[in-house]
Amino acid sequence: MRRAASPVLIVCLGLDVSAQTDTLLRRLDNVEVTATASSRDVKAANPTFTITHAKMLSTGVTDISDALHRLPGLNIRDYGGAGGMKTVSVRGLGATHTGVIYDGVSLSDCQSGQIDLSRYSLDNVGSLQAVFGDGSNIFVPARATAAAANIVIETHPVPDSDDHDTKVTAQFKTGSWGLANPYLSIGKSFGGRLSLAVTGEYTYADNDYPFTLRNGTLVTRERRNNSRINSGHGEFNLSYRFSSRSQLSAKAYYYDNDRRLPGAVVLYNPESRESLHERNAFGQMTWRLLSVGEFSMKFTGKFNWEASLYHDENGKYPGGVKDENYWQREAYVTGALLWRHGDHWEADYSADYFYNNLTSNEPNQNRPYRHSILQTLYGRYRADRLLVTAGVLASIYDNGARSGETAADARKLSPSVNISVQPFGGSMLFVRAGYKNIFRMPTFNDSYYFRMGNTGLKPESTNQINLGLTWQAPAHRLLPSATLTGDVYINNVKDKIVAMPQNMVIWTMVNLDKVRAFGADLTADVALSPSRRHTITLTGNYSYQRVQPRTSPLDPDWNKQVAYTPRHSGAMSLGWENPWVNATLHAIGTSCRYGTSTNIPSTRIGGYIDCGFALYRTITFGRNRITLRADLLNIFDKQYEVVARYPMQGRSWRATVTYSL
Amino acid sequence: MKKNRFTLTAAVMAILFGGALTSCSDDDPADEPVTFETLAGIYTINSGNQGNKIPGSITSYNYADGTVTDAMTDAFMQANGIALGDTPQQALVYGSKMYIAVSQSNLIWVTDPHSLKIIEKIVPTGDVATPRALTAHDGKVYASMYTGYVCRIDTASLAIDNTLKVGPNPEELAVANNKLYVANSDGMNYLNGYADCSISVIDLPAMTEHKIKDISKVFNPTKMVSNGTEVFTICMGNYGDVPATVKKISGDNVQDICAGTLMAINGNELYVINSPYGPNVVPTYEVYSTATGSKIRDMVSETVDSPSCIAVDPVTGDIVILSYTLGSSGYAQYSEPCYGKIYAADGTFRTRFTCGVGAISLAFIHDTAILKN
Repeated sequence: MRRAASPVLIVCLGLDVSAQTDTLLRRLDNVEVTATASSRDVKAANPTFTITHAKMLSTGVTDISDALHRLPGLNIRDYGGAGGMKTVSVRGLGATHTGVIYDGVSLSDCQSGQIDLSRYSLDNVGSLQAVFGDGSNIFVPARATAAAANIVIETHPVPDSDDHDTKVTAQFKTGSWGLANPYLSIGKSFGGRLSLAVTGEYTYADNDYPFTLRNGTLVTRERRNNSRINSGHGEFNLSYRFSSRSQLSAKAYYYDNDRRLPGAVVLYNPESRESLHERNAFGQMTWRLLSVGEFSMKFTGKFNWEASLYHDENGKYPGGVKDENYWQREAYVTGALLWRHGDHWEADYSADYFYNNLTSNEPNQNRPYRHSILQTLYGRYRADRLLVTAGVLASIYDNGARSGETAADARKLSPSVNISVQPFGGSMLFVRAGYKNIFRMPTFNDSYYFRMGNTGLKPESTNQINLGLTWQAPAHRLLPSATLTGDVYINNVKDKIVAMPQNMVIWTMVNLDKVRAFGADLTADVALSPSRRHTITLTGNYSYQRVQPRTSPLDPDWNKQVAYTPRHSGAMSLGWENPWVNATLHAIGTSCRYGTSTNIPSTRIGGYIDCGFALYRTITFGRNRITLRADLLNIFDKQYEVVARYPMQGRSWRATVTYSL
Repeated sequence: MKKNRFTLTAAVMAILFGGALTSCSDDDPADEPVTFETLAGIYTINSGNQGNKIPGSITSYNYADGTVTDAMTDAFMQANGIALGDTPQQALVYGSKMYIAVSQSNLIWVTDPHSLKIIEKIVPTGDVATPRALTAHDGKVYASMYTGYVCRIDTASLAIDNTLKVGPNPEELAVANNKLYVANSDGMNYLNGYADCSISVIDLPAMTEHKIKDISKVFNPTKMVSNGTEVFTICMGNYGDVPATVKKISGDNVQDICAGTLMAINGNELYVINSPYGPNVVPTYEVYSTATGSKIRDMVSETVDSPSCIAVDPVTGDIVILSYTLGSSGYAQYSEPCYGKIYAADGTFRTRFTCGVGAISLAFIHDTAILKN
């Protein structure tokens, strides 16, 4: 890496940095950040796993769910189909502990506490990251440290003055079951100061795919029913550079998905008339001012609006129709102040305030709202072979409701520390260890849902301890890159919020269960270059998860495996890049799981391996590039379920043509 | 595999938790033999757990030797090789057949009561859907459909031969004095306080209906039992300030009897369990007189953890109570196998057996010794 004396560059190196600040910093001082995503992951003091857009292509990643499977330690709930909901839990902690950060700003769902990642199509994603505990970059909003783990999504950067004036990507994807997915992105830089980018995409699919139903000795071929999706997403991005140190960026986002829900497979009864219309709009704006003396700062404001409109038709409902409509809003401001002293010391103070509320069409709704004030004080020490980050999050949550009881407030301090040591100067071998204590607030559903909600709930707390070893091989002509990582961890959850029955009709949310998780995450990413024009890439990840209910030895679930948690899961890909047609063979797999934490045999869901094959070729003429890609998914037509009674797709195909300028 | 689950001979008496007590007569010749009946066994109908995708099942308990199918084994699957379906609710033994209402799977199985072998699958069509509860009278089986209908099933053709619109979300039904009483719970209208709940009174065989609709008297009715002449219902209230109450229906009059959440009837005795919801409530188990509505005695010598069903065998007077197990925290475990306790008619505890997940109703199966006339 080039060395320069510019204070901006020092900040840049010091930050060492999430991809989001890369672009800016690269722009600000015209320094190319040469560190690859995988070498940053190796140096991180906490488990951090990144998959870039280029890597997604070379490893044959097909969609967001597949991309998440390529990251270790994640447990993805997938309800099947292109429109099926997908949520992620990390290392046995439950999906409500996973935060999602989209272009530097946390997403939230105050109603369910879970973000449906099926919304975020990969076409628009520049990189996808899983960050367990707190990342090595401390110049972040306080909210980024409020989740046990974060999925960090970075969209493609707007073009800057280094790029061509106009950047265009047009893509069309089609495939089995009526898939049509056009995507268009146009970016333009105006004189190096102002850049604009517009992105739009649309997805339609019938999705009524066939599956095999086993009912005792009877095996029948059935078809999913009522699965159509009709989804669109548009973004407008703006970036304005006031000076080399000062930049404003803004985003307007809209998402609309009007999908039918096939529901769980019910024996003997394929009828389903459910639908869900989701709409999400947000606008966010960030101003960064870097390296004013020893200080840098950034401020972000965001407003988010979200509608979830559920509709079902069945004679059992009053009037034959059920409409459950929810609207939630969030106003969010955050500021971060970074102080950098010399080459080694850095400190950050961040303060966030956000206001959430939820309304519905229910006649007796509480109309709950919440004020949240989060502040962090983090310090970082970096020497040649040592990286330490430590800090504390102070959280204040004040709940209110326009009518009815109000959920309990919370005030907490949450510490975190991460250490990375490079024991031998000449070798890129790192030992890392980390601890984080964090909690999640009860969601509005937990607190207020009709009859079920419990306003007396306490937060659900987690402790995470991680110990890891990472290594990057020295570059060699035959072995241009190779990284290996291995982490082991122990996580504990207490006061877990679970639904408990009062009788057959009435259930209540209570703080009851304890869970202990221990496991290991291994990754490998190797490139071989037997000759100049040929590269063989091999990536793999494996996770072992032992996630045990530990509420009481008298309970039947004591020390069994928590529902929907496989002990073994992993993914691998083998790619061959060559002058003709690049080829990738890839597979994901998990061992068996149970639908209940008591592991009742009738709820056993078998393990599976799902293999895919991709061919792609990029043709360049002048500044024009055309990429053609063909995918064969689930080659062996393996019938499996991720969630019980939600069969996944069998063998299918996809074809993609991408033009870029 | 044994062909017959219980050893038995010919005709069968029918009862089911709350169902009408009827004599076997639909397809028998007029030349009536004198019969002795003995209790052969019990089927518990296990609804499974919809949330955890645990399918419904049947557990069979053999009275003679106390053998019971494993709680994780479905006797229906053993007999037929296919699953019973999702969320079975009730079974009714009537004539020589057993009828099983499987609500989420939207069908009624007709099986041989002893072998459990499928004879027919009755599937309601169109808006008429989601079978909940069953009763029988005079050669016909009546099924409530949660979408607001009562269907009449002809026991010879095993097909629905008449459908009548009743109130919303009907649950149990019972026959007394040639009238069919249906508990229209309006249970899906909980956000508006069950405002449209009622009891349908249907003249048989004409199938003409009128309603008892007065929310101060009838509020969220779900259970319905009859001894042939008297009818009792349980109004569940609102699971809040209005408690669950046992009520007697005489003509169009409704009279409070006692607090109760589960009941069964045998002759002129009404068996009531009151297991209301809330902290520090001790459930009660009592027997009432159907005629006077006053308490006769305590029901059983020892209680269960979290009762889900009570039934009384009309032949022996034996009492069977099904229950969920409790976790260490004191909450019922709805995804774990349930259990049943069997008591003698005087309430003396006899035995306990384990049954499947979500056991919410049961059917008695009888052996009949025939004495030729």
